Amino acid sequence: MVSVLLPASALLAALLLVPELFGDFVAYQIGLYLIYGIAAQGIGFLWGKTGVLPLGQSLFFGIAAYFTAITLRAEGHLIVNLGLAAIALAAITGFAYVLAMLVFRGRNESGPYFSLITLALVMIAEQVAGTATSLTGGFNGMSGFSSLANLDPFGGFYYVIVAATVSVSLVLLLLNKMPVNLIARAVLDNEPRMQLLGFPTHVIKGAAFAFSAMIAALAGGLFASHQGIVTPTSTGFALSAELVILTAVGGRFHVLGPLIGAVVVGWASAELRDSFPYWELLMAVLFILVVLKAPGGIAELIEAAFRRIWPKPANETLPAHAAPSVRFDKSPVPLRFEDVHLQIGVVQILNGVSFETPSVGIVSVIGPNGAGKTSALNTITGNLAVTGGQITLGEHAIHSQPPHQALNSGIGRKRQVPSVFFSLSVAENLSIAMMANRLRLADLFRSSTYQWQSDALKGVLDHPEVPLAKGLNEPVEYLPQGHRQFLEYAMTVAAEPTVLLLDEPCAGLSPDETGLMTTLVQTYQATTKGLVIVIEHDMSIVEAISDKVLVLHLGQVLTFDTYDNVRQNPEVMAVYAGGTK
Amino acid sequence: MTALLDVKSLTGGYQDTNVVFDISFKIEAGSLLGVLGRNGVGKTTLARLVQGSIPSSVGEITLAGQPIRDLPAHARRKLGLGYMPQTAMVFDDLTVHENLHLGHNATPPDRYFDLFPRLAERLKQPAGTMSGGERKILAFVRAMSEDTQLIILDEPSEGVQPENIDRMAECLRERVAKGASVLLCEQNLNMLAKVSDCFLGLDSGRIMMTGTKQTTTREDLSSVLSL
Repeated sequence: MVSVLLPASALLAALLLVPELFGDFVAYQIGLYLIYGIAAQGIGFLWGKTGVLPLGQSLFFGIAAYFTAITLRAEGHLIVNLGLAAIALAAITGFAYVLAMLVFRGRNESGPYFSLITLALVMIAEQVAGTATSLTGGFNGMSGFSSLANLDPFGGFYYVIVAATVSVSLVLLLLNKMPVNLIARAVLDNEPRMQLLGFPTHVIKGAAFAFSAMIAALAGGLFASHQGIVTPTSTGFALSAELVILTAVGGRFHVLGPLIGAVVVGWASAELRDSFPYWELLMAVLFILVVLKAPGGIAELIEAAFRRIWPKPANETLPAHAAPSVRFDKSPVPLRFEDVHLQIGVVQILNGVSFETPSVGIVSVIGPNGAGKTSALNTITGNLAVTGGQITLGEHAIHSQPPHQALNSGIGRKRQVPSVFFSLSVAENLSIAMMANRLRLADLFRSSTYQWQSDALKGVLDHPEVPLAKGLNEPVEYLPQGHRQFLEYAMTVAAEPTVLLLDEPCAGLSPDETGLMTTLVQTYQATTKGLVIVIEHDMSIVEAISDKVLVLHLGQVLTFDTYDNVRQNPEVMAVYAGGTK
Repeated sequence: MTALLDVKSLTGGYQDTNVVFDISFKIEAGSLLGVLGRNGVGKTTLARLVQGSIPSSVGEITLAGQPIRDLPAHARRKLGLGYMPQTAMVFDDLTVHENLHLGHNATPPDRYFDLFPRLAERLKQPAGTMSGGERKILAFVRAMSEDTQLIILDEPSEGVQPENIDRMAECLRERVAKGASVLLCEQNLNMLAKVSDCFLGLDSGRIMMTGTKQTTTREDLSSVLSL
């Protein structure tokens, strides 16, 4: 809690000292910078954690500002005004969530597409605000209303802004310590992997966007009360862009970064504006320099200096709390393909694939490169939509469900090229995997969630040869490829899926490591008594582990039989000999 | 015989952490050096240091007599250094044809299309529609471009069916016979043993074994991977 309370207390103390040290006018100016800083904190939360860059936050800022202006003009009771403000905040948050759902549902989109939509919306909003004169006052805006509770913007209202600034910062600092923060970072790092771990990433991104919109709206309400006038520029693109600049300069990865950016840029602009005719040019150069030389912003430079004095303590202990049970049904069921077709463009990848696996055991899938092995797994997990036929797991059709539903059906997937979270540590990768299919809403806000451990994960990590238990805090970015294979395997079995799909788990492993991986897979299957489907080229592995072997060739099933029968099948011998390392 | 690639006392890694230490070796023109070792011993780091995508902290790298340690990766490419990384090897949105020609002055010989007919079949298709193994083969053929004199290959056999690994080995021997030099990082002992003229075994970022194909046994190679 020190890392939460210390910066929040320091911020509170510093802001409370401003009127005493610099007088009311400076406090008024700082108050305005802080309002922009709060809105920028919302952008920092969204951009820094999920990678989604909103270019239209002034839409929410402006709507809230106009709403506040209209409410304050009515001169109602303070309690009524606060109640209306709460309703408006909820409505704006809900609107932002629905908007995000429309964009994110069914798309792995965090980039320019979303940013451009928010940009278009804010341009529409500015146009509407400028022309809807009866509601907004048109180009001249709305004025002639007093501040909230008639507090003086040059006096008492400063403390309202300070309270809001510290409250928002405290909430964001607390969120930084909670699993919800790790989940958001994981979405930014590798959205497809999050989906295979059962996380509905569109909901996560939508919630993050709605939260940032709520913060922008809070800032907009404060702005109207502080300035006593709201014009179309409050909903305009120029303000949106400025908020992004404040966030980038201050540092989007740190809670206090956008506040620092707002105060530094605001103060520098005010100082230069009166003394230097080309001050905007200087500000632009400052922005370019920060982006090029310190992409993490001023806050990152401060943190780096701080960490030189107080390094982060290392924590090399393995998680130890028993995790809650997964929610999917663990009864073994067969997997059935019925005349499955898959076509991408003009390329026919699967062409009438039909087979039914046993409920329990290990099935190896072999075949030449391009036979459709990985694509078959992609249709099971919903990463590719079949163009004909159906896939059922037990009695349930699964071929049309999205990837994040696969684990909810009990299907875990390890990909061909290790799909892990490169910007996170080994321990953080494992934590995310342990949350898969177990997380309830309240667990998002409990730090004990980080300590979850399952029997399957323990079985992997406790094995003396598995190269993960040492270096838990190592960034995955620098792990060798083979170690990533073991990490992704551990992440996949952490949820103890009933159907485990492994796509060439031994690729890039030495013969000894291959033996270790083979043992882990066999142990897992024997312990869980479920179904394991393995794509493999090494026939010595196929022989050692397989109850049955599925041979695919040119998108069709060549045969599905025991290893011995497959080995003697002349059709198989003609197209695929296999080999060993 | 003149060494095409001469590496002396090379040390380097990622950010402030060195991964390989004091590595020295030479590759003659028309020769293939097989680099082997368990995961994490520094094979990929060594390949990337020579290729130039990460900077080395100490040492010398000379290609055809020219010091290249301080040159960026694209300048090394212009000097004839080809590279096939372990992952992220092809441009998924470009066609197979575009992948084979982008950045190369030479057209792949028909021989490659005979050995890997799927490439010929998919010439006009985006590489992203191909399987993982097929993309690996495409990346391999890209790296084998005839405008390269030193080819660095990082685990080319990973995810490739055994018959195609044999064909890759065939291509390598043919290229080496024509005078190219190859630095091959591999865990597949069969492939390594089949194509290498010399071996370099790594452990914990340092050289722990060197030898030629005449002096090195299969057991020697296995022992490097079993440490």
